[in-house]
Amino acid sequence: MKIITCIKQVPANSTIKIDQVTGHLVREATPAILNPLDKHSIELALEIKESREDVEVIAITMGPDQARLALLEALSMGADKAILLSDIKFAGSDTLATSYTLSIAIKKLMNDDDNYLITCGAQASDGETGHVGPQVAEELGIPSITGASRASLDGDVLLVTRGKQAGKLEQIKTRLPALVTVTKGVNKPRLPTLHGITHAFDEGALLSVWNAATIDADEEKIGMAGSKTKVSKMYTPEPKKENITLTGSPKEIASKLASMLKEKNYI
Amino acid sequence: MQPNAKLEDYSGVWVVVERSESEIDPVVLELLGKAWDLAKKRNTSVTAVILGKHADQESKKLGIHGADNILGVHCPDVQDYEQEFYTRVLTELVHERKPEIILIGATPQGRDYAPRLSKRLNTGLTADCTGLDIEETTGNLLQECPTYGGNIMAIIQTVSSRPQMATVARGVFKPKIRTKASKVKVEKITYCFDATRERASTVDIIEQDGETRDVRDAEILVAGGRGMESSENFGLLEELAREIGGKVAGTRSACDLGWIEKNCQVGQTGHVVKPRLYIACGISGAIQHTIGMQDSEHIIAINKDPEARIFSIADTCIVADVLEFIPAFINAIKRFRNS
Ligand SMILES: Cc1cc2nc3c(=O)[nH]c(=O)nc-3n(C[C@H](O)[C@H](O)[C@H](O)COP(=O)(O)OP(=O)(O)OC[C@H]3O[C@@H](n4cnc5c(N)ncnc54)[C@H](O)[C@@H]3O)c2cc1C
Ligand SMILES: Nc1ncnc2c1ncn2[C@@H]1O[C@H](COP(=O)(O)O)[C@@H](O)[C@H]1O
Repeated sequence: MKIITCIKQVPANSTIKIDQVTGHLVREATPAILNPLDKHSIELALEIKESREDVEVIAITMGPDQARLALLEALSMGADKAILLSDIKFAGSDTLATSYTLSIAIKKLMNDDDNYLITCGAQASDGETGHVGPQVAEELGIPSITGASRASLDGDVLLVTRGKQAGKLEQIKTRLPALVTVTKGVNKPRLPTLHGITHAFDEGALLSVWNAATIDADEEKIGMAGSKTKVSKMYTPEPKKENITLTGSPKEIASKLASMLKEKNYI
Repeated sequence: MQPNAKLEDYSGVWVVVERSESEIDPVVLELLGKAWDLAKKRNTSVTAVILGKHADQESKKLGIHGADNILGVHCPDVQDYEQEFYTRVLTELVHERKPEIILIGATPQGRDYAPRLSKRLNTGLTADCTGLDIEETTGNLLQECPTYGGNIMAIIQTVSSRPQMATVARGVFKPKIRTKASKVKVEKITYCFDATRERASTVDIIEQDGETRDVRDAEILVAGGRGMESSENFGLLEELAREIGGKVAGTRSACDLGWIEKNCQVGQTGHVVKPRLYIACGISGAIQHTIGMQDSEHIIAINKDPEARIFSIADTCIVADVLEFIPAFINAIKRFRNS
């Protein structure tokens, strides 16, 4: 069977800024990383692979050419193969267009074989929508289980534990083919190994690049054209509240604060 | 959107009802208040859609909070939430009745089916909105949502398809109460759901350990984030809390690191709290956290980064190293209490 793990390269959050004049994201200066939750989704795929004989793990991403770095990271953790979906025509995709593109690539990969599991992160740290996983599953017509804090595969039955409401966990199961999205609690991702890194850099054999034509994409459904949501504005949130800043040495501030709290009857 | 339908064919604002335990989830009432505003601007009405058999029982409450109509869909074969049931029923209802806007709570349940519903309807969905309004010139829904960890806000529109779908977390909007009594129309339909395709089904629900402490009704909360640096340093917060008669809470990062119990987490995926005093120690102020505490009466923030977002919602700002400041603060309180 195949386990397909969808991964995404994201900007390292804290450094992202908006150009105050143009209102666009300043991307150049931003280092890109593998979406943190996607490491857990790769780990889940690898753990299942190790627990049985017949598994091949394939990492897939849609993104610009530099997203190949995310795939190399997956390969050096131990994925068997990687696919980069890259085409200028994919640019500007929202989650609907992204999930369409990923799912037709997965269809091509599976070639009518139904014996597969897809793992995703519960959300990416940039958009934080958590839409792509369930939407890939919807496009493929398979069940999705979101937000796993524990997941295992027994034969072709996927068993997942996830938070339901405060103080409650739900155990839920389904049969393959299926898609699961994972949270941080699901496992502890391994570090890349030396063997893995050597294997990863054996790129020619392991990493394929597919474009819109390779996957026979409907041009109406990809990129900007296939996106139903449009970003009309981006800005840095403004401070909203009138406030006071206490200054001085920690000791001085502590005294001012304590006296203020006493005045307001908090202490 | 259906291939032969036009944008103008769609009207009305829907809120999908979720029930937790045996009552309506608070996010539903918050969404109804917002739906009511939006419907006024669009000159249309608000429909609360409830899957399950509780339409009559809940009609009064939903009506008071902003619903004009209630649509109850009862299906004898389905007792609880199920992804495929929700997706299928809502798809059919939308095709038949064509609402212009659908609002869904960003709860674990909402997050589970909303993306699939938007895909099946072939329309846009915006996640975790913190503001919703109508653009005057176009009548489009303006969906404000934080992105890049809350560092940047974006306004998103669904321009070329309908319905316009958005999810919203608990605590973002305030519930409203209708003062003028108006008549709520309740319509009920029965739906036969034959599960032909493979589904995900619940095996078991497990109750986690009982609450060891409850941060929800504390008058004073001392909350710590990753800036506290270690679980030992959380001991400082315990000491401060004891000194001023409060309880200790934490951000998700602090809970994930095991510095404090998960049930003390404040924010979108934790508790929404409203104490008289909230002391934020080493917390950056990500929107997912502030949603859960921004309505506190007085907020004191201590952070060594003068640019930290927490300062934009705090009443009293202190730029300092928490580890240095808290011990000094505890001493000062002892002095002032005795003076
Ligand atoms: C879907 C979703 C749901 C979420 N739900 C929640 C939620 O319910 N609750 C929640 O809290 N978060 C939630 N988050 C996470 C949220 O986005 C933030 O990541 C989190 O709140 C950050 O926690 P923090 O402030 O403790 O850590 P950080 O963001 O790492 O901030 C640490 C801060 O401490 C300061 N600091 C460091 N050292 C010191 C020192 N010695 N003295 C003073 N200051 C210091 C730093 O300047 C920094 O500002 C959610 C995220 C997502 C995507
Ligand atoms: N461009 C992409 N390529 C591959 N996988 C993706 C992509 N975007 C999102 N995903 C997957 O979907 C998950 C959720 O992302 P999001 O819906 O953007 O929050 C990620 O953790 C990935 O597993």
